[in-house]
Parts: sequence; structure tokens; C-alpha cells
Amino acid sequence: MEHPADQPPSPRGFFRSWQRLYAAVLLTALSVYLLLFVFSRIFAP
Amino acid sequence: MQLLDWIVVAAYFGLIITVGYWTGRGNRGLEDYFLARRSMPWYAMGLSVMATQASAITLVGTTGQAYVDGMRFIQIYFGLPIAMVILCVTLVPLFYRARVFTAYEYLELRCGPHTRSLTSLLFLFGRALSGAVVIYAPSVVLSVVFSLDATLTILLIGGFATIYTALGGMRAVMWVETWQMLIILLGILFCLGSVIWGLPDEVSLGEALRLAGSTGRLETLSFDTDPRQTYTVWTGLLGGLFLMLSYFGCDQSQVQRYLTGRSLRESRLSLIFNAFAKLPVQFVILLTGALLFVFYQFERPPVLFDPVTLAETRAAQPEAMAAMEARYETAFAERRTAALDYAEAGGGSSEAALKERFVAADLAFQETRADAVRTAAEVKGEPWTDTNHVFPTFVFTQLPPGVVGLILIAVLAAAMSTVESELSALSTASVVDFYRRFRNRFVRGSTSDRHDLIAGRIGILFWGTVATGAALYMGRLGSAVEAVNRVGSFFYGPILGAFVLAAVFPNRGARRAFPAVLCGVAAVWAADLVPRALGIEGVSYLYYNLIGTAVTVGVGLALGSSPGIRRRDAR
Repeated sequence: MEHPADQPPSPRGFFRSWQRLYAAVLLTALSVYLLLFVFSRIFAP
Repeated sequence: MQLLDWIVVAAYFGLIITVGYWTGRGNRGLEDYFLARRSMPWYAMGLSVMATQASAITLVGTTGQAYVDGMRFIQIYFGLPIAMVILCVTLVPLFYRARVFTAYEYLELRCGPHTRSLTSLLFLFGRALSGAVVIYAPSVVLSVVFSLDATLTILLIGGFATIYTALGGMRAVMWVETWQMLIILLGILFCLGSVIWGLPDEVSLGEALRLAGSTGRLETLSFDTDPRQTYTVWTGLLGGLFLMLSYFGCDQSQVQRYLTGRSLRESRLSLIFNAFAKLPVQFVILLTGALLFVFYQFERPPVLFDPVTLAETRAAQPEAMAAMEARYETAFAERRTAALDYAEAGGGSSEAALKERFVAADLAFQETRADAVRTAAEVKGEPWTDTNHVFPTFVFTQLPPGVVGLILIAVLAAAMSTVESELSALSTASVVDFYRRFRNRFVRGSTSDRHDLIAGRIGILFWGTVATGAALYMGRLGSAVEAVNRVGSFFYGPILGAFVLAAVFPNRGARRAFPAVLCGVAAVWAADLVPRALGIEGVSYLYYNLIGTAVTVGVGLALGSSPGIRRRDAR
């Protein structure tokens, strides 16, 4: 069992659960890879 | 170095002494000393994790690498955000709930005491001399570029880090590292700003990026599927994922950071912070190097960035170097003109031809420089490059007083933060995984807090002395230390394999982790040695962790599934 203090503080905002936070990390990483791809294509065609 | 720079350096040492003293008071037992009373907030742990990973070579070598080779290095970090999420879901809660001091302590619960001893020993062996490398490498560069005595620089970095780590314990180290990482980030931003500021008025940032891009310096992604290539998207995503899982999940120097969290939530958030921040920080460091390349289109760079080697090469081969430098001068002038013409073309009809002319001029210039590097290597009688001297040369010759001091302390902070983490991790593993266990077995009565604390301090002083001593003699021990370091990297994957067995297959493969880890180490060794012996190119070293993990898990499961062994376990 997880200690209550280990749970996210309150169900407010977007990051209501760890799953959403992890999803946000992975989506951000994917966006960074895409941005790098675009950056490469613009400046190093 | 001017007075203002020395004031900045003195202020830095003053800051870390104050922070170290203030936050490191009142250590009463090992939990205080090694785990900061499990009281740290996520941002301090997050910055400390980042500072531990960022060695001085990250700052100095990575910018140099982008200058020479471009930004494709960033791909090795592609697995990091995924690794952080996997660790937050799997190992971090397991470590946190088990209330362990070391990652290897957890293995004892699932795999038995021998596996704990083996993995901790592999960690100690692998990491013992890497402290020497992280002290020696920046010390040499700093001593050459900033005209400091190499012995003094080694003693300053190694000695200072050892003393305040031993005195203050983990809490002091973590808060000092938090400040050190902030200084490093500030230094990185100052560097990027300084390079952009140093570009000629007629060259905008967009034009600078176009110039860097035309020579391939901004190529960040390669979709090459050849597993022998290190800098590709696939190697970064797969090999890099296993490297990051091993490093952040099984290396005590990192695990110890997030074990200090005041709650599981804080520990997880510290890794999530790194998952968000690491790639952008690395991008900025590499972009600085790529823009440094553009800066040196308009400002003549030295033919060799290491002034000492340049003087030695000139003295050894005066005529050859004089002819080479004359060619270098002409090649630079031609490239400068071509770069200005191409930058000013700005999408006109002649742009393609001007780009071609610039790329050809750059190629000719790089060939001349490569000749000079080859000559220097011949004079030295060993393989040599000046990649690590590119960035310090820029700082020392182009930046104003004060900023030079700031960059110097950023490099010092990067070096010292890595040393501190390694020392505290080595001491924790030695004391908790070996000294305390075996003392409790042979001596009646448990140890007092005071006794444990003294043992912890002695551990740090011991490992600090070993690392600093080896760094002092590294000029002579160089290849031996590098060999130990190289072999040390073979252990990461198999140790991760043991954790996979422990966490995912506790009833099947975990009890067979000991022989499985040995098989994993042998497999990685073979993956490195066999291609060398056959004279062929093996898979990229980034895949070694994947190989080690896969073999360890496979062997562990195979042995764990063996009916004979299962019957013996049941008895």
C-alpha cells in the first residue's frame, strides 16, 4: 500500500494522477523528437 | 585570469563551504549521513541527479564535440524520458518501500545475500577509479587553458570535494549540488549568450544556424538502422534506454540521490524533472558548440586549440608547422569570405552556388586543421585530439573578466558534483553492503550511531584519497585506469538484469541471479572482445547494457525454470 503522503496532493489540475504525468512526459519527449526532426530539416536539409 | 575572475572563484568556494556547513550539521547516524534523513524535496534531488550526471567533460567535451562533429550526440539521451517513467513505475517505489540504503541491499531481499555482495562489488570495482577520471580529465584541461598547475587543480577538485563530503554528509552534498547545478545552468546560458553576442553584426542568428546547418553541424537525427552506429535514433531509443535504466536505476551514485526523498512522491518527481529537463539542457550545450563553429568562421581559431601541444609541435617540427600554418591562414581567409557571402545571400538565386563554395572552403580548412592534429599526435606519439580544448579556448580568449570566472566555476562545479556523488556512493556501498554486514556477523552487539558515522566518514576519506591519488598518477597510470573504467561499464547491464529478475520474476529467476549476472558480464565482455579479436566492428557500446540485461534475465529464468533447481529451492 502506498502511504497517503505519496499520492498526488489533490485531484485538481491536469496532473490528477501519476498516469497522466507519465503520459505527459512521454508526449513531451515525442514532441521534442519531432521538434528536433523539424529543426534538422529546416537548418540541415 | 583577472582579479574579478578570482573573486568569482573565491565566492564560489565560499558559497559551497557555507551551504555545506549550514546544511550538513547534526548528523547522528547513517540515515542522516548517507540519506540526508530522507528529508529532501524533489527540486533539490532533481538538480542533484542532473549535477551528478553532468561532469566537467559534459560541459567542455560536449561543446567541443558539437564544434567538431555536430549535434547528433543528443540522440544518446533519447531513451532517458522513457527510462525515467519506467523507473518511477517500477524500481523507485520498490526501493522506497524497502527503506534500503543501497540499491543492492534490495537485491538481498529477493535474490539472496550473495547477489547483493556481487552486484555491490561490481559497482565498487566499476566506480572505484572513475572518480580518478572525473577529477583528472577536467584538471588537465583547466590547467592548460587557465595556466594553473595540474597537481594543484587535481588537489583542489579532489581534496575539496572529499573534505566537505566527509564532513557534511549527504544533506550537505545534495544542497551543495543543487547550487552547483544552478551555477552550471547559469554558465551554460552565459556561454550560449556569449557565442551569439560574439557573432559579427552582419550575421543574424538565423544566418548563423544556416551556416552551421550547411556543414551538417545541426543534423540531430539519423535513422540509420546499422547497430554499429552510436549516434542514431534507434541506438539512442533502445541502447540509450537500457543505458539510462542501468545508470539511474542501478548505479548507487544516482539511486542514493532519490532515496533521500521525503516521500515517494518527491523521489518520483525528481526523476520526472530530469525527464523533462535533460534533453533541452543537452540541446543548449550542443547548440553552443555548433554556434561556436560559426563564431570561428569569422574569428581565426588557433591551428591547435591546446596551446601547450601547439608549442611542442612547433618546436618539434618547425618547418612543417610553418608551412601548414601558412596554408591554414589562407584556408581560413577563403572560408571567411565564403561564409560571409553565403550568410548575406539570404535565399537569393545564387544561394546554392554560394553554399557549395562555403562547404568546399570549410572542407579545405578542416583538412588543413586535421593535418595539424595528425602532426601533433605524431609528435606526442599517441592518438590525440584537441576537442576538449575548443570551448575553454573560447572562454579564455573571448569572454570578459568575471564571465571567465563564472564559466570556470561552472566547470569546477560540474567536476566536483560528480566526484561528491561517487565518493558518497562508494562509501555507502562499502560501509552498508560490506563493513556493517560482516561486522554484525562476527562481532557481538550492534554498532552505535557514532561508530557507523565514523565508518562512513572513513569510507569517504578512503575513496577520496584513492580517487585523488590515482588522478595525480594518472599521467603514468592512464591506460590502466582507462581499462578499469572501460571494464566497469560492462557491469551496468547485468546488474540491471538482476533487478529485473528481482522485481519481475521474484519466484522464478531471482534466486538464480548470481550465476546469471556472471553470465551477463561474460556476454558483454564477449560482445566487446570478440569483434576486436576478429578485427571487425562490433555493435555500438550503447547496446552493451541491453545485451547484459537480456543475457542475465534469460539465464536467470532458464536456471530458475530448471526442475532440479526448483526442487532444491523448495527444500
